[in-house]
Amino acid sequence: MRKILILFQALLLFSVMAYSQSREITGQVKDEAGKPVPFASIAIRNAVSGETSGGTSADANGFFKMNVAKGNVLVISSTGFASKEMAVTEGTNSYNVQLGTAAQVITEVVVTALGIRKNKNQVGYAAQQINGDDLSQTRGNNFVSGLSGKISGIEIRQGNGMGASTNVVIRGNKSLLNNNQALFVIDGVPVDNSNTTNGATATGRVNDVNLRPVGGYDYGNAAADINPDDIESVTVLKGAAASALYGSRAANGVVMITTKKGKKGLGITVNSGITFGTIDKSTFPKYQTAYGAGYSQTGYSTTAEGSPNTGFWYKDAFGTGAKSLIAPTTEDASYGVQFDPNLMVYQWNSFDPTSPYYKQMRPWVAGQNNPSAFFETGVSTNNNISVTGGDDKAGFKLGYTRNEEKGILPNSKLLKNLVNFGANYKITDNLTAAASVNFSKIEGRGRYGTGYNKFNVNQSFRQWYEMNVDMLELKDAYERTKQNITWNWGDPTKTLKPIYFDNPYFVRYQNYETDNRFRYLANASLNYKVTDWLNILGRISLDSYDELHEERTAVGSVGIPAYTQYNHTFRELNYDMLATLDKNLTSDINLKALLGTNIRRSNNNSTYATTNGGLVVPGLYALSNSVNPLNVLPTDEVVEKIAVDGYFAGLTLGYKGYLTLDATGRIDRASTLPKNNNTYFYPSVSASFLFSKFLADVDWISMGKLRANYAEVGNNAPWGSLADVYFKPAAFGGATLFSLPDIKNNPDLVPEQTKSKEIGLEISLLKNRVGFDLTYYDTKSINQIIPVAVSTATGYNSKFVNAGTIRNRGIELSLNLVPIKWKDFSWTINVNWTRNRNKVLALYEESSNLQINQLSLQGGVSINATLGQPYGTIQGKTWNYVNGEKLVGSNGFYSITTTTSNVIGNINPDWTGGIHNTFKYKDFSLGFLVDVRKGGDLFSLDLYYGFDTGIYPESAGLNDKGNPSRNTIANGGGLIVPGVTADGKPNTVRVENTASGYFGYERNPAANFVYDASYVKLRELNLTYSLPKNLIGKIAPFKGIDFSLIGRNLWIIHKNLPYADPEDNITAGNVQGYQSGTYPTTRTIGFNIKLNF
Amino acid sequence: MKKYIILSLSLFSMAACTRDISSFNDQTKSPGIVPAPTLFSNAVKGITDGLASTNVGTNVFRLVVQHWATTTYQDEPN
Repeated sequence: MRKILILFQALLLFSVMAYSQSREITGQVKDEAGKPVPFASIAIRNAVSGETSGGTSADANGFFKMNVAKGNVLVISSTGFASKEMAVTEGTNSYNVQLGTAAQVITEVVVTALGIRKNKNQVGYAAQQINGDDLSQTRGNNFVSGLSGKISGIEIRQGNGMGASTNVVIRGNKSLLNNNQALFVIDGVPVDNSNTTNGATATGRVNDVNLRPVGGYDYGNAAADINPDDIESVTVLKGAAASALYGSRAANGVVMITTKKGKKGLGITVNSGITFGTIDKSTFPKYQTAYGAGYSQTGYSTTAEGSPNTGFWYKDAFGTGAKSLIAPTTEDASYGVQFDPNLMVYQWNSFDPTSPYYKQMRPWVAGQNNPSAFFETGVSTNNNISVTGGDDKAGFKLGYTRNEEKGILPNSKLLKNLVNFGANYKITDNLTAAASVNFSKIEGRGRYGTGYNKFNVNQSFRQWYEMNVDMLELKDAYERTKQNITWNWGDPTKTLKPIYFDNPYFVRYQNYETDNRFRYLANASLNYKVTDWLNILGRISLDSYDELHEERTAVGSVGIPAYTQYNHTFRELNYDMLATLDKNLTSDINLKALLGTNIRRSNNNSTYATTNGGLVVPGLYALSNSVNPLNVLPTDEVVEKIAVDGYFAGLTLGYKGYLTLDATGRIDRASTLPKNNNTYFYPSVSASFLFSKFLADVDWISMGKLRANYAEVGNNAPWGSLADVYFKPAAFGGATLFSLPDIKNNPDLVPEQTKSKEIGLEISLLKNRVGFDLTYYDTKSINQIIPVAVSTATGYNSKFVNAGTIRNRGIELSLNLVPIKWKDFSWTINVNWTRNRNKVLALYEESSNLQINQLSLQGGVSINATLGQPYGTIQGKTWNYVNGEKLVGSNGFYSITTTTSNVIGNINPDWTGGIHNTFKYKDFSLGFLVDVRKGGDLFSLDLYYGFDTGIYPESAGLNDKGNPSRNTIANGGGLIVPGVTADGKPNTVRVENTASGYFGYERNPAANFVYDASYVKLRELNLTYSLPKNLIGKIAPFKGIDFSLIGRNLWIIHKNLPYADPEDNITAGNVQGYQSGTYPTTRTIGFNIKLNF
Repeated sequence: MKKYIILSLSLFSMAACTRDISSFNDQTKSPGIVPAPTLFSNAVKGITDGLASTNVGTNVFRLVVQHWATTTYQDEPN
């Protein structure tokens, strides 16, 4: 039969060729604007048989040439255009074809789990999508931060440091102690987004998210390795039902990134920009300028020994035998003697032999330049070129981005080189092969130290400082000597050795870190379209990176000189097989199904090594330069292998396009769970109802959809939490030691499980001029994996159990408005609003509190999960009260609780939101984003110590009598603590403010330093001018030229925290709401030019 | 249709063939069994460290019997 058919066709072809006069025709395909349409395909339809065959395609300029017989019809088509037919007539050999744009398809497509594209009208869960352009237009260095305020339901917390990590939590914290960060997925493949800071590496447990807040360096989060210019769109799958196909990784929601694909024709885009950053002074301390070094105005010498001013040392400064006044350089506070230009004293640089002030007494005045002079102007350049190309069979893209950032601190630099390449090829009509690779090379030098740490210069600037010190003199001293000439000498009359703080320039130039990370994200896939309705995809993907962190403490610093090296390798391979089916069962019922498997193998290796006891040769940073032999602890070597085998299936039934029922299930077998109980099932069901189908005659409703879903997803046990092993402490002399670990592992762990319910309403009104998406969700996370305290008689402090429940409930609202849409002018508003209510419903048996931070925090505070309260309570000492008034003791100071378990704050915001406005007038476009966070608390260690050491103006103000409060009471000074005495009467005891204590930690509980972390920020502003189209036409190779002015973090419109940015955190992780040595906001202004060829 | 069934079955059987994965969770850098004397040595060191420590959280006896006093810092013997 088939043979006969072929023969018949051949005969038919012959007859056509025989009886018609075939001749050559030429032509050009153009669009409505008269511009050539590249690579349109031109088919020939036989006028007699009606069959379409052969043909050719146009070249890059739309020209085509072919042989056609008279009477046949040309069918010209190209993606994005409506196809057109044209009869070939006698006599005409040249055909100019004009294609009209295809009728706009109203259905919006969203990318859902595993990269499956779905019609938005038929999706039964919240999935919010934004364009890559919206993220990359402000040319930020970490696109993850760009999500802030643009998506509802997602909470972004970012640090102000250069390359700092971003904390991304979707719909609240669901795990008490394990990872709460969203899963990042690129083109359907999960990628690693872990971050490492040395506070954690110091204890070897780099993956423990709760160890980080002690500070160190923040090496950023790995998702920042993705080229922002390669992002086509980002979809946030918020609820469990949306992410359920990721099974045991789905609990924290998913950020889906779709990268750009090769398009027809050649497209070249070049971006080149530069931005300048300076500190926002409202987020940096203001300093008092009236009092200098000292914790007290007296007591540093005695009148008995002849001292003219007991607020200074009275010593023999240079071995001359004569005693003189010396500023107390050991005192890292400014509660000392009042400034007086006539008072001459030896200061810190009077002892530096290279200083112009060597052996000179200097007037006792405030330093000319306070620590804000330390900050430089950050300069960041960003250059990107991307090329896309393709025809009907193949497509490719190639992109390169170079991002060089010089931070606001001296000697800080971050260089990113990102290259991405992707290609696809249609091997046959049904078989497509595709591969892509994203390579990134990140090199950092002098990242900012964070937290309460010697590497963080802000620790001194905000907490411990002498106001008589001039910052630029410190700079001169370092540049002159390259030595640690500091303001904080131990005893300069004996030796020049620092006691607590190094010269900040010495810290930056000598005690700097360097790091690098090489990363490949690669995948290769084959897609076979078996029939119209069945498609099979096979894909292998690799996420692989190697990183090296090196940290230095130079000889001459406070503390033991050291060199630390951290090597980390991460590999993850995913093997995916996915069959999708899409078939109309009847004219009303559509069936979509999927069946697939995902095999994941990941390998996380690291070694941490540090010198022991100091460095032998100064300036040589090598492990072999250690004074004592190295100590290697078992936790310094990490080899963590994880295997997860997943099998999943999904079924979607659609009825007449308005009713959709969706069910998915995934079975995960995980190696981190007990062998005979390692397989769990994660189901989801969702439904959507497009009710606007029944309101077709109500013309003000354009679209309306109701959706509801239920899902159960998981969070596997961390690696190595089943079997017990011994810990090997450093040997004691020749005796090898082994010890039991503190925490007993549990061989019967089950995964943490999250059960989620969600309902939502999507409506768009008045021809899409008004649209909103409202969601209510309720999730309950059970079987938390937590350590609980056990009797130490067992040999352990605590053991891992499955216990505890957390609930998250919330409302998300996204609103789109187009108030004005005229010919030349339009105004668009996007609003996102999120309110999440979190509550810890249960902990282990009777226990009522679980501390989240694993290492103790300075200031005697802790971040906790407290029974019956939202996750993340701040606990510490508070006031004692009488009838609701603060109790003041008989000494005139507050009476403070001895317990530290009082809840004094909570880190969760009441709500967060963002308003993005875009105005377009002709070729101008102005956009700005206002980002708001209402409520939530933070504890400020900076003010806890800084108010105590008297560097802030509050500590040197006037008292109720109008006199300087630091005067002695005899001179009209002193202060009265507001509060009541034990009998309930107002306190009247006047106390001295001549020494440290009144405002700071010595006389106030931690609760006094808990602040409201609300803010309203003008986050982004950009003004773009696109050269008009008619002008562009005259400049040969260009398709578009855009000039942009960019601003980020321009203005903090409102905040309640003095002298700091309430948003700044130490690093990403579960412990938030704690600030120490916080960095000021960097206000960025820049310029970008974008060329399209 | 038959060939699709065979095709898909063969694809999904690939996944089913994977071996026992529990060995991935083995802690290869720490011992599960150690020589007994090392544990004893550690215990001896632990108790001695505790007796010699000035930390008030560890051992207060020498402070209580006034071998030690608190001077500069009221919450730590020195």
